[in-house]
Amino acid sequence: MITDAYRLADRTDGGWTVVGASVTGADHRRQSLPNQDAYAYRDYGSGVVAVVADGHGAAQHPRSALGARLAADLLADRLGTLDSAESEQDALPAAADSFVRAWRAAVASDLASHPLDRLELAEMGRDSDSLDFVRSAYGTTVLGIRASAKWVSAIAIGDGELGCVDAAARHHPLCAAQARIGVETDSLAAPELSLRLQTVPAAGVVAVWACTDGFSEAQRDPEWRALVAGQLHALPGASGVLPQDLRGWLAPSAETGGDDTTMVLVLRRR
Amino acid sequence: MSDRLGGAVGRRPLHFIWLLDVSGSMAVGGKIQALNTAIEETLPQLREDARDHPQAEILMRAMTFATTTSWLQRRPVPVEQFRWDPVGAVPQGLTELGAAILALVDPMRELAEVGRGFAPVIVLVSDGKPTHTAGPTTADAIPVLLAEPWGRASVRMAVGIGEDADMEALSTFIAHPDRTPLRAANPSDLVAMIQWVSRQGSRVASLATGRDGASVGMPVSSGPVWDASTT
Repeated sequence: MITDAYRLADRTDGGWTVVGASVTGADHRRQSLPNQDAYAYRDYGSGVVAVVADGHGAAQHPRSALGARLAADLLADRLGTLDSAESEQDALPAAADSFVRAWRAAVASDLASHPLDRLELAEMGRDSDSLDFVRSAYGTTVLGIRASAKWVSAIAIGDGELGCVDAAARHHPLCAAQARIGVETDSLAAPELSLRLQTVPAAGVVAVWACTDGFSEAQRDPEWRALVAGQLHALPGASGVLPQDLRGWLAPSAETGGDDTTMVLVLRRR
Repeated sequence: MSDRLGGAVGRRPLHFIWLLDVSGSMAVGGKIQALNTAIEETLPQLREDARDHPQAEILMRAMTFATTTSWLQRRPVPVEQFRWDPVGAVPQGLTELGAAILALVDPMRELAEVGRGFAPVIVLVSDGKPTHTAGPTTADAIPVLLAEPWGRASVRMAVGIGEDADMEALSTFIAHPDRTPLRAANPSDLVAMIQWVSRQGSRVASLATGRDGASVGMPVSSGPVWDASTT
């Protein structure tokens, strides 16, 4: 099932265009579960921002779809308003910190107006009013990209993957982390955050991408990242990529891998 | 325009390993026959679970251990194609559980090299007190397995058969505060408990305990048959 796709208009400055799409996983469809991924994008004038988030989805996280939606929107907002008085690298940690506080405040606000009900607490396996516990209901990962004329910055909490493609079609990981096993992931809802930040010069970068693990975990070829780099590099240019193209590219992963599958592409206009 | 992004796609593998005691004592009281029956009767349920949770490709293999260890399959087999050939007890065979645990280390390293998939599930079934005549003790072997990232992440479950089963050793193997070994007192217990631990292990590994997949209650023993006098 195709749930959403978007392409930011070509008018953005900084030479970048965003294309994003999300496809509900086959296993979620079978269980009548919603798509628990989210993505967001912003045109902030001198560049673009693109974010994906992956709600944990398990019964222990009954509000993870909302957690992911909040994370995508709030991180897109914060990355779009970096403190221009500082260099991008210096401003990124403060933006990340601001984002985490904003997400926690949004979760607290939602909990205040809609406390966890008995069914949700039963799904979570126990009852506790500790902040860490109730916040885990909204557990999600989040990956963000900010691309301007000068810099490409990335932020990551949890699994999924980020990468960029250079002019020679080579893949470069962004915010790389030690691989986790199975369903383990760092979480935005965790008391101790494992936050990864990276900024690289934009010169020579032709594409940046972020995906939820619905895409990366479905890939069987160990060299799939290099394949993605080559395929993005071979595109005729940002204007040649339509949302329906991306939806079609994601559909096999969502269908075969079974998980919700979401990706944002930040493409250099050529 | 490319027609795809990335390479070939597939389901996430979930490796399921049976770790089965075929020591000499398993020949007593019909335990080895009951074990064969229990696994035979568990496979249809696991295949059904695989159909219900198509995000996981369950790949199965089995290792038996007595004085020595032996893999029954050279390579992991998709559960849909996995066929159980009954195993026999090894006359005078010891219970070298530590050596069997060490034999799991290489497969865990192979999983790490592939680097994708759900945490593996390892189901141990044993009826006695582990020996360590040639290999290490259980307590010495388990840290070696847990030193491997995929070994540490594995979901380890265990069923003890009869009164002589060393539940402490099985707990050492499980090495998880929230999981305890089950003790089967008779053949029907064994079927119920092997079915439960194998399904529960797969569900824990894949988090397939969503709204349609609530786990069933842990089976309890229905009374002693395999007591000390029969082992």
